[in-house]
Amino acid sequence: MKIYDKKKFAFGVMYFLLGLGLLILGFLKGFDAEKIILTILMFLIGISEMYLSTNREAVKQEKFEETEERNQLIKLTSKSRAFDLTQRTNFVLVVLFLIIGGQSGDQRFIAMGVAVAISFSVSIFSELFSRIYYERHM
Amino acid sequence: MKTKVKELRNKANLTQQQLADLVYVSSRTIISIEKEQYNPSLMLAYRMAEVFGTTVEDLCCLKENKELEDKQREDL
Repeated sequence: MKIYDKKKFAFGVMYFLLGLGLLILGFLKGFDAEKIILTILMFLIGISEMYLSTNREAVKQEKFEETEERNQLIKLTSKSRAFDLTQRTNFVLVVLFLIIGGQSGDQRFIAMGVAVAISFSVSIFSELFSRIYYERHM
Repeated sequence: MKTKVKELRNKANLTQQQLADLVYVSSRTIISIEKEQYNPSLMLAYRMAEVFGTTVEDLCCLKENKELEDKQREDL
């Protein structure tokens, strides 16, 4: 058996071990519906990932899909749109939380507003630094 | 961008999948190019031109597209 995609195989092993861990935990502390579904899911993902990583054709097809030029453009565009949407949502949430916090005097809303504001600032700075980087390297 | 991909593919009696296999892309990419929804990269355009035995300039109707772009710029 030859492994054609080591990363995929490692993911498979990780999922399989997580499933095994959940199974052991289930035997020690008891099972409930949620744990059973999660364990089965982990085993299934793990086994399928391990199997696919040893299947030459499947790995070849996946690599092709990953490197295909239109797929790469779709990936870039959708990530960019998702980032824009997240940034705008964060901005709205900051304003909303701070207004509610300011009006009600509830410190929890102010704290939530500050937390989202930190996330918003990180996104603004990461965008700025990425732009500087690509202005120099593209 | 307008291209002659569909016209030349039909002339060459190739299916979208066959052309896609020849130029190492998915058939969805060929469909999008034919629908003028996706502009091929320079290398893909060159590969397709090679398959059809033509030039990138002819395949991608560069002269026509340039004139159209120039007109759009003038309108701005």
